[in-house]
Amino acid sequence: MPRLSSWMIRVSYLYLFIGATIGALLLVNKATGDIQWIWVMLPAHIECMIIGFIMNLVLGTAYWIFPRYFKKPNRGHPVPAWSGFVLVNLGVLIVVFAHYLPSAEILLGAGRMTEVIGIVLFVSSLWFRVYSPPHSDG
Amino acid sequence: MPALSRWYIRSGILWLVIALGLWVVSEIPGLQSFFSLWMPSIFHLITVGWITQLIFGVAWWMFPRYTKENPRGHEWMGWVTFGALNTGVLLRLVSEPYAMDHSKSGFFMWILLLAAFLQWLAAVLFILNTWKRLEPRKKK
Repeated sequence: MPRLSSWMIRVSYLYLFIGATIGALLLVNKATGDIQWIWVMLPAHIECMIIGFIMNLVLGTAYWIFPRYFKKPNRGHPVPAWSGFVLVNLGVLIVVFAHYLPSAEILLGAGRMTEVIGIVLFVSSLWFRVYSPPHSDG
Repeated sequence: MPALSRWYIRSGILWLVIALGLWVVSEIPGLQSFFSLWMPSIFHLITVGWITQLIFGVAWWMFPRYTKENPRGHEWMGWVTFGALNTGVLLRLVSEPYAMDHSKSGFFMWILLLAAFLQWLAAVLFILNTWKRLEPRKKK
């Protein structure tokens, strides 16, 4: 497994742990009503699970498993992919913290834009790996 | 495809069908207010029951193997993860709408607490059981 995929999937696991822990506490509060403050963590839970866990894992697996080029670098130039990985996760951190700062709509927007740019960069490194060789079934 | 992965993926598909069925029923006029309490559970049937379970099943199957003798790690832990995830999702579905009314008996409260713990446990066990399969390839 290439190093970038290893990093992305392990980072996704970190988000899974954080998001699942917050989610479990949210359910505990639904059951008991004893941790009312945990509701402020709902945006962090959603961001961690959707972008942090699912997006990192899917993109990291795609980078590993998609057809490779015949010539090196076999998975394309690494800079867009690594940059995309860094920007997506930077965006997640910005978005999560922006939810807890007053009047931080601009920061929230900047965080989302960082995520989008990161995803576009990463996808650009995968786009031409989505192909079928001629005269093949797959 | 290993048996555990087949169970994960088929169960995930089942949860998707159940979630979509419930969602459709929840849109029937007259039933919307009744089903409004179920919407968080239905949403988690899709995100946890289907998507996360599909990820677990395919990862168990496809991630790099340890060795020929022990290709995927602790099989027993994989089955415990599967059981915890699906039991947690089921218990959540049957208890969440009722547990939020704290004036009712504590039965649903305890079921929802168990559901919370089992789903969390499934996530932790999956991480522990597959972490080492993500070692980066050593350059020759």
